[in-house]
Amino acid sequence: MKNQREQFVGAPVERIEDHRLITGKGRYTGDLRPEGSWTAHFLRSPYAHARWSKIDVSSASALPGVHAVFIFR
Amino acid sequence: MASAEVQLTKIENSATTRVVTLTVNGVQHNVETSTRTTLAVFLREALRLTGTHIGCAHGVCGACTVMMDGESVRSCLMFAVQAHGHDIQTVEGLSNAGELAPLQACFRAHHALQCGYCTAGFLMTLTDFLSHNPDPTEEQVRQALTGNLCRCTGYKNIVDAALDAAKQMRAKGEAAG
Repeated sequence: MKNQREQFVGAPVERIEDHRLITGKGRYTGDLRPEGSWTAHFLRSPYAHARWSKIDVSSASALPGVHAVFIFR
Repeated sequence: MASAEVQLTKIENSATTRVVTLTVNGVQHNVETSTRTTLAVFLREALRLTGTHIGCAHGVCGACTVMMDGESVRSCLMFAVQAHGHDIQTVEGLSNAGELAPLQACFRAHHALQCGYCTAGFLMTLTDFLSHNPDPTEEQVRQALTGNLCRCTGYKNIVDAALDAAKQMRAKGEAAG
């Protein structure tokens, strides 16, 4: 206990995570690529205030690599 | 053809690829990439150099700053193909064989970061700035950092770290003669 007090109290303490963060080795959620994961894209309405009538997703669904299209119903 | 279809056809046609040859942190790469891929996404996805971060993706926050031929640039506002034939340096290339650059060491000593997300951008902006301004005033450092946003640490410790790094690098330069 006494040694710890001498070591830390009143002394500048370097953070253990800083080394990886300042060398570009930090890991953030956006850096992760879990195996088999897909990418989601959100397409928002280009109209600020409009009434929804219908959405045709057939050509979007037909694009290569598209697994699913979800829309408001 | 329905207008949505025309739009999608346009998008598909725009997905042209090119082989980009560039040097990143001293290593040459030849990688095929879509012409619409930004340099930031290219570095992160194609080269898996995830130290370069994308904050706003439209040139406001500065998190994606890298150096091209020694000048700081926003990698989110450039296409990867524009870096063809150029020399790119990212945060991963700052420390020499595991030894921290003076600026990195000063960031650590001055607690100039918390979450670290904006840090790579600050380091790259300052590396460029200090290479041209070895003896800056606090005001000049603050001016140089107007294009980098930090949302947790604030700027005081970052400015302190930059001034201390400048001082240390000058001392080193003088010692080296």
